[in-house]
Amino acid sequence: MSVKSQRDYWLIFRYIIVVSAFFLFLFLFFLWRIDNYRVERLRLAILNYTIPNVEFFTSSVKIIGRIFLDISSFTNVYEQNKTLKKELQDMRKWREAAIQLEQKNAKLRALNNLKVNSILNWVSGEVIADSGSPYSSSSLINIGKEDGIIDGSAVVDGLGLVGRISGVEDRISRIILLSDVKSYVPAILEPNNQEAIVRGDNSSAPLIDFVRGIEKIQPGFRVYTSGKGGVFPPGILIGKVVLSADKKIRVKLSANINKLDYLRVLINKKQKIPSQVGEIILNKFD
Amino acid sequence: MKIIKYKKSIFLVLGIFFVIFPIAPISRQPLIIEKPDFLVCLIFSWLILDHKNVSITILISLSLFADILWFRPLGLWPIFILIGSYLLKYMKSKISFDNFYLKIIYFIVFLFCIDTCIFVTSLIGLTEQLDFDIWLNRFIFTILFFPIIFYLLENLLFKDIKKSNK
Repeated sequence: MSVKSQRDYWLIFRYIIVVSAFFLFLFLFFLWRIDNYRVERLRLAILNYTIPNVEFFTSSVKIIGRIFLDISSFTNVYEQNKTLKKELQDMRKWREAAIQLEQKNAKLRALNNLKVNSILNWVSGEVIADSGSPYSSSSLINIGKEDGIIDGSAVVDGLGLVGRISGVEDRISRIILLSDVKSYVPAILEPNNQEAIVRGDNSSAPLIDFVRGIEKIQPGFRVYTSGKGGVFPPGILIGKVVLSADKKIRVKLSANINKLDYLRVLINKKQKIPSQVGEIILNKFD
Repeated sequence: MKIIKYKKSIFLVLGIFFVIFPIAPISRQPLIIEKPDFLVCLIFSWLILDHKNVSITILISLSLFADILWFRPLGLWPIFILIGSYLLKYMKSKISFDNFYLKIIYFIVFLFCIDTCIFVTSLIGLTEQLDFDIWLNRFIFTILFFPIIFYLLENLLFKDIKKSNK
């Protein structure tokens, strides 16, 4: 066989491989589109082995990045100090009020012999990775099945709701943040008790949708989870209503989703996440 | 042959670095500073600098790895990187890429074509649509970072090619 024909065969073989690779990826993409749940589980299983092994690198990048952020925040340190002093003064008053209320509350509970519902438990963990691209607003946390995490559990930071668990592996879990386009949270607007859906749109302030009596909503209204649908426990603070520049009603989140470090996963042992479309409605009619 | 293998392994390490780097949880401020797509910059730079010895297997493996780690639709970017790489390899043999500004223009066209294809898939409902502001932010920052990555790669890894071109 001549060298030229050998090269021709090699070229044909290479083209066959390239075309096969193209169709393989096309198949993978459609598989992801059709059977998203299973493919996402496969992805998470891969991440379960990958992320803990690269954690040394991501955590060092995180430390260096945070140092730069801290340096940049030095520029307005004087103003920050002034604001913090004022806030601290206000907080002292609130602290006293809170202590008094807590004591009063304890006394009333003792008088009524009230049993508090203790089905809600929590586990804390550290954020170890971000989504890396704007196509998804999610994070990975270093707790998983081994720590008792259940798929669908609500995730909060010290201030308010952050999102929910979507995918659990042995050592890691994925959190879909409230800003993600796939995030829909049934909410209630206080003080009017108006029901709504808080919908993510990849911005840091999610939209308020599917609300009746939109004219009654005012900026500053507090938004809580309503507990409808059975995924989120009721009464978790989401944030405050704001009117955005594009004249849309949005929620300014109480949780600081721009800087997530340590999070708390609320675990409801009796929680049952709907696995099929329309399961909540069917359960209601049963 | 050894040098080519060495370059390929260096490129692979760099690629893995650029895939893992954006997932470090420093800060997420979606509308102010969007993380640039360093991987596309790296892939394009390699295709421009040494199109004859480019390993398509490494390119698509890195794209697939990025898809997995960045929670992107699986398999979509490798398809476009595969097509784009072959088109660029073909173009490189026909058109001259000597002018630096021309390289940037071609990079903008390359990135824009990939993003347009992704946008079309989102239009027909196969993927989620990205907010225009976020997309624009990422697009601009990626273009701004391309010359830096290209310059570093050219001067650190492809010095010999630069000399032979001169």
